[in-house]
Amino acid sequence: MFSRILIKLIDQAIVPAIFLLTAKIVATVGISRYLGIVFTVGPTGFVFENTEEYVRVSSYSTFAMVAALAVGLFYILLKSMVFHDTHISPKMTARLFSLRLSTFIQGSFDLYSQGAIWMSYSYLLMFVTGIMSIFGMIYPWVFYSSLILTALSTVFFILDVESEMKMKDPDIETETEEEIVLSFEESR
Amino acid sequence: MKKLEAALKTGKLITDLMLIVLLLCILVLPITSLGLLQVKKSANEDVLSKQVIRKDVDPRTLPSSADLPEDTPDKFKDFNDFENYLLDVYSEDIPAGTEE
Repeated sequence: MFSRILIKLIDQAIVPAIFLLTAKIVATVGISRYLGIVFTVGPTGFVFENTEEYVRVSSYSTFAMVAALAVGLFYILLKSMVFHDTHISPKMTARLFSLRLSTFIQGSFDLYSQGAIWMSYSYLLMFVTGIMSIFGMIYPWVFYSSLILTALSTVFFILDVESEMKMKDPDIETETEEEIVLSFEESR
Repeated sequence: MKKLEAALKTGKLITDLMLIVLLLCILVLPITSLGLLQVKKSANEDVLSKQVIRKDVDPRTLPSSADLPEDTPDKFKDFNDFENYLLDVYSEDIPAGTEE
């Protein structure tokens, strides 16, 4: 009845959402305390005394969020490039089984659904930090770091998808260059 | 049978749409945390800032100064004070029955 892909995506989206939200809140409190910036917690969120303090805490806490996203993306990309069940080497498989870490080996459906979710967060964060940077709500380098992270992870993700496609169909390149000549027998 | 199939298709479509909305909500959730941080805003910040500019109002420099009475003070405490004074002075000119 339910769409399998949608259910999988929702299932995979919850943990990263909680992880990123926690990173932001913990970073906001931690950075404010570290920098000695006083804030109050109201019904709408963290309230700062002046704009300078707000921009500083907002920038560093958003950067912490980008770092948390980088950790998640790195984990997913590592799994998809090294521990992907279609790419993994027999030696690595044996080693993982001996270490009882066979759960690291995952299929394309699991890996790509996780990758799609983390990439979505990456793109969303990039757009929002871009807008915030334009309006001077955060320092521009936070947006640039988000942009670099998104670009790099997209490239690596595409590389993995390409290698997966080659693995599934090794003749994919030669097939396009192949010339097909049709011959018909004369009908009598 | 056809009706049942159509109903099932519609039901599946609605379910999928709801799941997409749910997915989008989950995706947007951590991004909304960027708006959790705010700057303290005084309730009268805008009004006060305007009053600071108009604080030392010299009524004689205003375009309507020609119409002001001779005994108009040189300075007022703030703009509200000046406004009240103007209302007192010109209240006689307002036709009866047109006051708010």
